[in-house]
Amino acid sequence: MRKNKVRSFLGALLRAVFCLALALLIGLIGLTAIAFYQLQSGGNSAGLADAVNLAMEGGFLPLCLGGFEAGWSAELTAAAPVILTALAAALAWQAGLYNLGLAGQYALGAAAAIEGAAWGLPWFACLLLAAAAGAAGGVIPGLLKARFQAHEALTTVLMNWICLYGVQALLQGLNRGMGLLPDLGILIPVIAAGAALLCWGLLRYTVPGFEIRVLGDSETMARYAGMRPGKIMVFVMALSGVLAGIGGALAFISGELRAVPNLNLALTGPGLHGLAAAVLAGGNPLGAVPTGLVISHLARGAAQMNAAVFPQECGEWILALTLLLGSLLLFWGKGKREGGMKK
Amino acid sequence: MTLISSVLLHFAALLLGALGAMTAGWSGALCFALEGIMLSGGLAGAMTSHLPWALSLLTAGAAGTVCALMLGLAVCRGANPLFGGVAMNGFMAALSMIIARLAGGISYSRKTYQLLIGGENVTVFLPAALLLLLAMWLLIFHTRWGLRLRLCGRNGEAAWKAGVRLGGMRILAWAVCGFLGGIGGLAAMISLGGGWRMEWGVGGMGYAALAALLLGHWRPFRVMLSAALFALAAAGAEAAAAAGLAVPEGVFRLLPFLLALIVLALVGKKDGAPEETAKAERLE
Repeated sequence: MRKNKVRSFLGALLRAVFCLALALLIGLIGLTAIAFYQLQSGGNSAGLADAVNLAMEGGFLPLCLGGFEAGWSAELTAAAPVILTALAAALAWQAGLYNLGLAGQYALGAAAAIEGAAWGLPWFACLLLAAAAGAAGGVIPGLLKARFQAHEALTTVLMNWICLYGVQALLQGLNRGMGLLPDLGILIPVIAAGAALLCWGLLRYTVPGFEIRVLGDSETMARYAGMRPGKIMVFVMALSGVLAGIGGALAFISGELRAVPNLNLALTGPGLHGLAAAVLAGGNPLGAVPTGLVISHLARGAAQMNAAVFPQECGEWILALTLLLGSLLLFWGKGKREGGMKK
Repeated sequence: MTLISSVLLHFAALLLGALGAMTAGWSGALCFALEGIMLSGGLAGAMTSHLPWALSLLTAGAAGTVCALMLGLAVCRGANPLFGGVAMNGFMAALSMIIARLAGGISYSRKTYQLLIGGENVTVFLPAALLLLLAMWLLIFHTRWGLRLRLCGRNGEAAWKAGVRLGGMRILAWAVCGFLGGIGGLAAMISLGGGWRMEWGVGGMGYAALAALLLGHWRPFRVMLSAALFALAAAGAEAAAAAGLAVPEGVFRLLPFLLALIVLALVGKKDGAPEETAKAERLE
């Protein structure tokens, strides 16, 4: 039993590492191509070696190592929102649900925190507001799924667009909330880690957690066991929204959020990062912590790339590639049943 | 752009996207990357918009095909179509921004696609979309190939045992999905105003096309009607947003998605999806 567990853990770790390494490798090739193009269009007749050099120095190394520059506290603080969104995705996945609306719930949470700060509320009140906003963003697709069996993948994505347009409209130019909250420092990563522990404990040791896992295995089994899939779905989606909303709020509180959430988040950004981290972690809440750290580290490193050569979206591109490879490699050859976590 | 041509343009974009997803869906593949596919087509088409419109459309279709095949090959090997789709959307969004920046900004001319009927610019996309609708209807529902395709979608194992090349069919369906989605994406791109960042995809039209597909119960002509409905909503929202009313424009822009959400609630599970596609979505 224990040997199996160690094996499966090592297997998951290996898959995640391989996936990341492959994405970085392909990213390096892409960076080289961009560097080559830039050098050529600059008029120099540069060779491939120069392009590789430029890609390494200006792109790849900052990508991988740039995150370390600001020190560990910055790393951990920046990782917190990613970890929380990853938890949100992982929790929903454990129930067999696809919460792809992370960006929208994140935006709702951030918007609630911004508004709360503007009204002068203390930070924990802002967090509660953000949790409520995120829950609203999550519970609506959950209800639609429970009551009308509407596919939650599509409903959450539509909610994404609704929330992003809505937040962009309502917070237009209302940056008044920014920077009004105290610097919570070490508390932010502690909240994220605590949330991860709570999720893991919930799933493993509580009755609702068990129901969630059974639902994730098979809805029919859940019904047979007398559970009510509808209730579980709504609960999971709400909780998922809460996590993502708190992630958004923490991003704002810690100062990571540099602009009001807008459509930029629709396809790339925190939503994507959370999903990538969750997929790399195989849907395991505890695993979301290291993968969230890694993804956030890469995202911050991407900001350090040589902006003259590499457009700032290169980092997002590589992270999207990570998710793409993760969705492939973590399910490779096993068929759809066994990849990652039970679905 | 007048309201009528705006509606027709949105209609063409949504219809083409939905047709693509429908083809993929009937083969049992769930195309969630429609936003990314449409974006890639839109980018390619926009970059070649100085060429005659037929070439531009073909380029858009080809780019969409490449994009779709990237995901399609992965999905046929067992990748998770939902995560892979979201990944592909983000991938194309970032890639489009990179290409746009490297190219120093994308400027395209709308005149290439102009087609005047009765004084209204209906753009070439409208007849293209309607012709392709007819073509897909005939192809999928009235030919032997279409029958095999639908068999793949209803019961993959039965298809395999009947000697149908399941993998080949699905990949071909993905390719068609990409082609149609690419052209639709060009239409969508044309419908978006200036100042639009590629990072925003095609404004969610890929997902709206999926919603139209579900509302249309995966049948071509009903999909056409639901695409018309969403096109009216989208064009109306844009017109309202541009009208400069006291309400912030974002509120108008989210209304089509709200409509799609309500529609999905009404359609629910009985959307008539082929069995395999439904299974792909629930991953049972």
